[in-house]
Amino acid sequence: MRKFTRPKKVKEIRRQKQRDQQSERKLKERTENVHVYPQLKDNLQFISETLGDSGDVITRKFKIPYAPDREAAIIYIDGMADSAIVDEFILHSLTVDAEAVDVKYDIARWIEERLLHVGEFAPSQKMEDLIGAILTGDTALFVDQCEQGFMLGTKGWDYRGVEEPNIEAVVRGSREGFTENIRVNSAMIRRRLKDPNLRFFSYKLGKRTKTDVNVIYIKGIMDQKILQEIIDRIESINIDGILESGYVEEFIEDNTWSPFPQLQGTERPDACVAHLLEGKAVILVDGSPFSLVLPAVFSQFYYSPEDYYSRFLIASLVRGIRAISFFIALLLPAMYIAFISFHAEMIPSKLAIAIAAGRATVPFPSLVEALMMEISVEILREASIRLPGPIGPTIGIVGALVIGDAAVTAGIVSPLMVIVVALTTIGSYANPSYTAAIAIRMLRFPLMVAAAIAGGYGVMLVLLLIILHLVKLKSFGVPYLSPLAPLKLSDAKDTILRMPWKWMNKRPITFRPENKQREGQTEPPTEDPP
Amino acid sequence: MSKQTHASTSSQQQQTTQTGSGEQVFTFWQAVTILPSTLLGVGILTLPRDVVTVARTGGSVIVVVGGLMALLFVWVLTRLGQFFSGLTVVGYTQKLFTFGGNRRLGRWLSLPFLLIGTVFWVSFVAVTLRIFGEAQRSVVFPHTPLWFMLGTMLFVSAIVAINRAEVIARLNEFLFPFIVIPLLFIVLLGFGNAEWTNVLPLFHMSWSEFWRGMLQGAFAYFGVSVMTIFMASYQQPQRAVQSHFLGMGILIVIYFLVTVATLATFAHGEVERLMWPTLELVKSIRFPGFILERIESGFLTIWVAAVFTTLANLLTAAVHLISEYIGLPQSRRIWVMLPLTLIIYTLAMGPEDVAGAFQFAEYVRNFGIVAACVIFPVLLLAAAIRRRVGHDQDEKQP
Repeated sequence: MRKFTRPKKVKEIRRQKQRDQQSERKLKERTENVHVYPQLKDNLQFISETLGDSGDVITRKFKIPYAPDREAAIIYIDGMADSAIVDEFILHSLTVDAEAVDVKYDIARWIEERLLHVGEFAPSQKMEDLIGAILTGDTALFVDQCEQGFMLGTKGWDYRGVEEPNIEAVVRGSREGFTENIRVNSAMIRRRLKDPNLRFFSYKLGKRTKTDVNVIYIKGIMDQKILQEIIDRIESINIDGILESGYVEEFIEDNTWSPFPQLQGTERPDACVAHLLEGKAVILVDGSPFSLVLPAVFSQFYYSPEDYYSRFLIASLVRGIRAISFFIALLLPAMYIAFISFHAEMIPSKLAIAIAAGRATVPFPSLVEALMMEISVEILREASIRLPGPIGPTIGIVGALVIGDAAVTAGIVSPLMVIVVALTTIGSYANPSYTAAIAIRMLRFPLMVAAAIAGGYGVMLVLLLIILHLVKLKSFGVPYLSPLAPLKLSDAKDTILRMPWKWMNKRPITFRPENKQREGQTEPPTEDPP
Repeated sequence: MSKQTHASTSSQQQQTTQTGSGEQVFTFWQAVTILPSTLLGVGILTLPRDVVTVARTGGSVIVVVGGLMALLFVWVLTRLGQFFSGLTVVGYTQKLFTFGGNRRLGRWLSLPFLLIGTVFWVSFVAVTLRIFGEAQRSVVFPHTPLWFMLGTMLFVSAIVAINRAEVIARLNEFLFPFIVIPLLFIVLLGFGNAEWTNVLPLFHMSWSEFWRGMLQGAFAYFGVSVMTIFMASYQQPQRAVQSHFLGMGILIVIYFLVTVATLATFAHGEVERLMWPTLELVKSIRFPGFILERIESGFLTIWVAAVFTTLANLLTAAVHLISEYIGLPQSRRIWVMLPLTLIIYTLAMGPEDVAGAFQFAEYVRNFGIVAACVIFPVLLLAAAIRRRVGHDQDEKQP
């Protein structure tokens, strides 16, 4: 019996597949290339069939006073269309205020030119477009005996307002962060960058979600070759749903296997504008407060927008601190293991004695000790993100303190290990970019294992492999380690140090800008001062 | 080149981000760093002993004079590379020996030269690897088996060797400061214990000692031959002489400082008896602020990067040479790299102990000297003939 079940199943699966394909084809045939019917009834029936009588689709029939024999109907989705606009500017203007009209006017022109008080207006004969419009929150208007539908811009759904960005907090600088609404986001960029050369490339990505994706760049600054590459990669995206910019990022990045992010995600419009001015592009994805900045180089993940707002001395100093914290977050546990197990002679003798005393009760080798602590801190970190609201950070701190102290008292880890883990965690929090900090968090573990196997030599080998990877990595044709390798001295003014703005009067050549100077005269005030 | 850029479509993201092998990728500064980072390797640990054994207190002079002699080699090789700009040694030896339009003749005649070059590079890599392992074992890892040290190091270097010139260039450039700055730092600290009378007299040696010392010293500069491969991808080959001389200048200064510091600290009688004089210099240093008590294992850790660039560059050159000669595409270079790696590993594991390793190094050095003495005159002669013939042809068909 068993023999026969298998082929049956395969057959069934095949049949199911065929059925799916057929139904998909049917749907395509039904919606594609269907023109608007002359009869209103047919149109409404078609739409209700296509949308499957969904409860949130509202169809409102009415009569236009000018021609009582003609019926009309509007269709929109409740919640996505702004019902105030629909009531006030469509229904009201079509039914109440109808003025006496010349009979020689065609009804379509009459509606467009005289009646409707809506800004966005587009007629279409294709049913596909009209359904698309309804699904994005617009309203479709059909008039009897008129082989045309009208798409009226009534988008207006509820969205989160502009709030302060959570992850990229700054002391000095704008408090505005992106929201989930792509139009609000693009407006925030436009408002900061009143350049006529600012360009928006719009895409609808995702076969089913039809997510709005915009590629933003400044024409005349952005390198056309990089832009073409970005566009090519975006057009090759093939998926049914884009829910967040992370989807896009993973599709278009150069190396999916790399632990390092090759696109910078930011929720700050001011940072986006700064990147645009450097000749990079920004991708906005509807439904995500995180925009993508590309191409990205390694060093920019260690800059905060604040570096450019505060005075250059303190900014440079802070960057130095971040560099130190980067090395601490990456190397400190590995170095602890290497020192303890291989290079004890390098530690000053008094400290070595203290460490030995601390470790006297610890039964484990230093790798096990370090892994235990690191993993428990990672767990705490993850837990404190998921915990609701104000409890999260508290649990994190309490957990770390209690567990660390208890572990030392219990003789599981040495006191120095607790210091090392604490410094490592703090060091990785000092990184302004969350995604880059994750890369460091991941790479810490192979380094620790290498240190346990071969001490400093092992750490160095893994570091060399990481450097080799970084050197090979490119983001949209831009070497990831530039401007350090290949060295570009004019760009290096904005790497470890942040030179005064007066000296940085050129755009970074790393991104091959078409316009190299950051020049610009201040325009004199329009009115003469009294 | 336009074809390359045109091909960069989204369907092959990995591929597009790398440039073709024929592309001009080395910037001026990358051209500067490639020579010193190739040369700074295991040589730095034993250089003071090598020169001091022959020339006693004149060791520091020998290093500089040997360096100047090496500059001559560098100049000749650079001019050759400029003359055939855009071609590697594989390309231009074949061109040089193509007489009467007979391509096959050129191919066969160039083979012995290329073979000698490859054998030299491969054995150089093996020696470097072995001495590296011995140095690590002598100080930091006395109980670690040799195969582990050599195997891991060779593995990491071999991963580099199948990459494009562009990656090699950036790798050297990025690691260069991490190699040079610790060395300078150690020399500076080493001057703290210096007894300056140990360095003098500078010229107390016979001519035969001088020449022998020169040959000893020249060994430290042998790796310059890798530029015959890498020069083909320079962005500005016309400025190659400047960049190479600048790089060699940095190198000579470092060699000189290290030799002087070692000699001044230990005096020549002592240096002759030290197996790793530079390491001894490091051991004698007190770290400022007492953050670290003894820094020799730290030094050896950072020095891994220096040896790594040496191994990686030489291995890349060898792999490139072979693959170019047999016409292997970049993506299949791993099939050249794998057997080469095996050969190198076998060679490096060959000597029984440290003494055997130094003996091996001696052989490679002598082989290198002989090879240089044979190859150079022939190449120059061929270039001279070619130049004349080339001129004739140019006049015939303008």
